[in-house]
Amino acid sequence: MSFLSVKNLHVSVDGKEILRGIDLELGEGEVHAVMGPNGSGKSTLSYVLSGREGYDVTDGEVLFRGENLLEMEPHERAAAGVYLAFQYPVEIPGVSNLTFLKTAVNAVRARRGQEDLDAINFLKYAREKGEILEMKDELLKRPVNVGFSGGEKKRNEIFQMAMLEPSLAILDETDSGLDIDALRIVSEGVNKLRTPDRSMIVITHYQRLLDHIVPDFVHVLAKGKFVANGGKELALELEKEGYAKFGIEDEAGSEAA
Amino acid sequence: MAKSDNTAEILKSFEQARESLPGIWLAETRTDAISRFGEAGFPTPRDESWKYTNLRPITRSMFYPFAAVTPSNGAEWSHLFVSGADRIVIRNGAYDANLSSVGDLPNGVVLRPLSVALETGQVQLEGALARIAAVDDAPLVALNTAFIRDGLALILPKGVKLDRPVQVLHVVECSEVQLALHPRSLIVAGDNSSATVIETFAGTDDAAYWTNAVTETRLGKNASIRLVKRQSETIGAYHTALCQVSLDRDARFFSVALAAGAALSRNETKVSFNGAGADCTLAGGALLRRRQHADNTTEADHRVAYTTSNQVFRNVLDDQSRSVFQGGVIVQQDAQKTDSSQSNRNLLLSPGAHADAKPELRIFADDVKCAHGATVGDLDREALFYLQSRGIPVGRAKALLIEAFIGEVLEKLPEGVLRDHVGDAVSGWMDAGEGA
Repeated sequence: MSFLSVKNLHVSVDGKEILRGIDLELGEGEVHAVMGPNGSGKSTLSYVLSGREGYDVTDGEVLFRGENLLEMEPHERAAAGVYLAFQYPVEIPGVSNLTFLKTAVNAVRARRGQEDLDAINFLKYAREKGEILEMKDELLKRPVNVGFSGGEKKRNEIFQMAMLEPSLAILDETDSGLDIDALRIVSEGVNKLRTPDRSMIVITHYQRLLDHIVPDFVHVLAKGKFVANGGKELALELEKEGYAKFGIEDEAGSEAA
Repeated sequence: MAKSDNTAEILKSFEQARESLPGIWLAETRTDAISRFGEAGFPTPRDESWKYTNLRPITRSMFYPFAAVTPSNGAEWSHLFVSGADRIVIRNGAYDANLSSVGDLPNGVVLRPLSVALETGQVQLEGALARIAAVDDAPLVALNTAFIRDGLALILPKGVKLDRPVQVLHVVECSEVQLALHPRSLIVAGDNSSATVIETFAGTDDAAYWTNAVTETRLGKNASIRLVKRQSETIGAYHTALCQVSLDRDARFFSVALAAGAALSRNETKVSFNGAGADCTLAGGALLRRRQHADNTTEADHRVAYTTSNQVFRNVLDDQSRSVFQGGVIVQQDAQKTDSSQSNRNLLLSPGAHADAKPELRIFADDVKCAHGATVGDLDREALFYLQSRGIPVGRAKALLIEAFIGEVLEKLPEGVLRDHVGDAVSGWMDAGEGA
């Protein structure tokens, strides 16, 4: 039984087909990079795996540890070990990061048959994990992502990942909008969370992130399909020769931001 | 004029009740008030300020004016007691000494049930009681004035600061007949005095009744009053209330009023600014489901220069419930440099729910700031998914977002007993919705 098995996945949004037959086999502890230009379907892949509404699976299947992932509610997927680090983390005014995380961690623990963490143990746990991401205590008290800089938001995503201890982490353009220092902190955080029993799908437009988080496999996504699969050298090739080599027009052009 | 409502019965019941009403010195005021009510009758949607709230459920019902206080039927109210507060309990419309508790007070402070003050404290009440809230064009105030029986009398001499909050707890236990209750609170704060008053309204589950409350508040120079209201009436109850506030120079009035109960409710707050530097904050809202209707109507009447008002109202509506917000701001010709703002947001949890929001600004001065905004929307789908994706089940995720939304009202109160008291109404509302 493979860890994650995506077979012939077709997904439509508002009647428009975005993913047109994705096949992906992910082993335990493996890190796969999915690269592609804007509009290739990268975010759709991350959302359909995490269970966002509005994404219609018209064909294919996704088995996560042998179970039908697509039948699970989003919170069930989280408890089962799936985690999505959002490209655009959502701001939630009025809900403190601490309340949010405590609710999330204890909800996931309950489904995994573990006891609730009480206030003291939760704080201890949060501080411990926060150190990995150089998170200031003050960020815990603030409302979720409200008033966070771009870098703080992305760090918060990886911090939550550390808290929830997923077995499959999907990082959706975690590098976008980060300066060099923030990118370093975030990717070092990710690398510290890289363990033999934790797999990752790292979605990115650019090679830059993959210098820090070195993948085991690279897939190139274009117009809803993988057009090339290979090892980490594929990312370098892509960086050097551009998406055009694969017959893809990259609307966003080269790395301008 | 032939009326299809209960006005005639109410006039008759006043004639029967008048001999038993406390405070002979108030008799003329009562007579005047009942005739005002008789002439005007109930407000109808034809009256501009009642356009969205129809009192027909009340005018078509039969109410009894008063239930002689029976020994407590064993109903337990301690969960509504605010700990550390002086407490006056009004049960079925009359003072209940057994449930009440008032500790030592600074010299000169009057803190009494109104029924007692009416009989013994004429000098202190005259010039204030039924003088702050006008009965002109206010039939429900007139009706309350005619039937004044009990409630709160709080009179603070100059410079007195009450350390403990004062709670007036109104409870209705009568299920045999529908009572009409006309509780009255009088708060007179001398110059430089300050206090916190909590008004709590509740009833036993099976009680259907009508609370028609009036709170009169007058603040002297640099006085400060915080008024916290928790309306947790039964689902079979009706609740109409007017809070009239008069502010002298540099006085500060701060109120938070949350409604989670009653089939139909109207909470009206009118503040008149009579001295420069006066300031008020009016915060509140409602949590509604089924066919509940809640109306918050305000009027900040800036009559003099350099005064400020801030209004924050939030409503959460499920099922077929309905909310009304009429946010009134008047800036008189002389009221230059007025700074007023208001914000009303409505969260609809069901397609059948409906919110009416009507800012009403009448500005006659030219050098003023008056901001206002109103929104109606449903739960943020992105936020909901974000929470779910972190393992939080959809029901809990919705609850977090609803709590955050109404939290914008709660956070106006300091952490501790005050916020907890109002917060309990929120959690009670959330709990009642689970599994429904």
